[in-house]
Amino acid sequence: MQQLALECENLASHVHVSTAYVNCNRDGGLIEEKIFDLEGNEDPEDIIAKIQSMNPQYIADNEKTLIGRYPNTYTYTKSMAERTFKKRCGNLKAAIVRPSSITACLNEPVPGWTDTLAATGGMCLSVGMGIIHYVKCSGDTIFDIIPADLVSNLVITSAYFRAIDPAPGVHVLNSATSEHSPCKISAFRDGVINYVQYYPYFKQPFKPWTLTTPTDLEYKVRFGLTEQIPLSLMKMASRVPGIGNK
Amino acid sequence: MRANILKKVQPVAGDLIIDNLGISPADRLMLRQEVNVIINSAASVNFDDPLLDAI
Repeated sequence: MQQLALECENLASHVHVSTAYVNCNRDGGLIEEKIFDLEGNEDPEDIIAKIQSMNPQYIADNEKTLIGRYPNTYTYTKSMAERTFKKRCGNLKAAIVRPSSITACLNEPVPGWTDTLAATGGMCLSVGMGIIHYVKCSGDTIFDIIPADLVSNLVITSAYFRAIDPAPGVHVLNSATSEHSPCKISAFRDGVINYVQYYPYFKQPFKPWTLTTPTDLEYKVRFGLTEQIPLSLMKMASRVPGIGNK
Repeated sequence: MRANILKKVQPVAGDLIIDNLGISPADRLMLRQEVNVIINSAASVNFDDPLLDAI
C-alpha cells in the first residue's frame, strides 16, 4: 500500500490505521505517540524476513518466543508494520492513527450503529446474553473503548491536516478515551446489563450477570465451581448408558 | 453535489494478501494518476492468527 502511495503522482497525504496496543510490550502506563525503535536498532524488515525463512513448523512451535513480550501476533505484527512504515516513508506526508478498542458509533450515522461483532461488539453481546459470567480483572480497570465515528473523524481530519502540513514524515495519533473520559469495566457491564433489561435480545438464553474477579485464584475457583465442575459432571452423566445420548 | 461525489467513486478489484495488492496494472496506473489521499484501514482483526499468516 505504501509502495503504491510512493508511486502516486499527486498524493497529498497517506493515513495508516494501526492499534493503540502496538507498544504493549513496554512498561509504564503512558502510551506515547511515537514509534519506538527495536532493541539494538534492528531493522524490522530483517526480522520479518528471518521469520519468513524459518521452517513453518518451527515458527508454530516457537511463536511465543519469537513475538517476545507481545501478548499476541496481532500486536506484534501491527507494531512491525508501523516500524516498516516509518522506515520506508520517504517523502510521504503520513499519519498513523491508533485506535484502542473500537465500539459502536456515538452519533453518526445513528447512535449505537455497528457492523461487527469483533472487539467490543462481541463483548456487549456475550455479556448481554448472559454467556460471559466472569471477567478476570478488577472492576475499576479502565476499559478503553472508542466509538467508531470518532475514529473515522480522526482518520479524515488527519488526512487533511497532513495534506496542508508541508513537512514530510510520520505523525502518530492515538484515538482512545484513556483517562480523559474513562469507562471502568464495571460501568460498561452495568450499562449493558441495564440496557438488555429494557431491550432484550430475541434469543435471551440466560439472565445476564457478570462478575469481575481481580485475582487469578478467585477467577479459577468461581469459574471452576459454577461452570467447569457442573459441565464435567454433565459430561460424565452423558456417558452413563441410559442417561446420555449415544 | 451528490452526483459529483458519486462520480468520484470507482471500485477497484484487489486482494491485500497478494503481491501488488492484487490490483491490475491498468487500475494501478489509474490510481497513480488520480489518487490524492490514501487511507489504509485494512487489517486482520484476529488477535491470534498464526504468526506466518499475520505477517
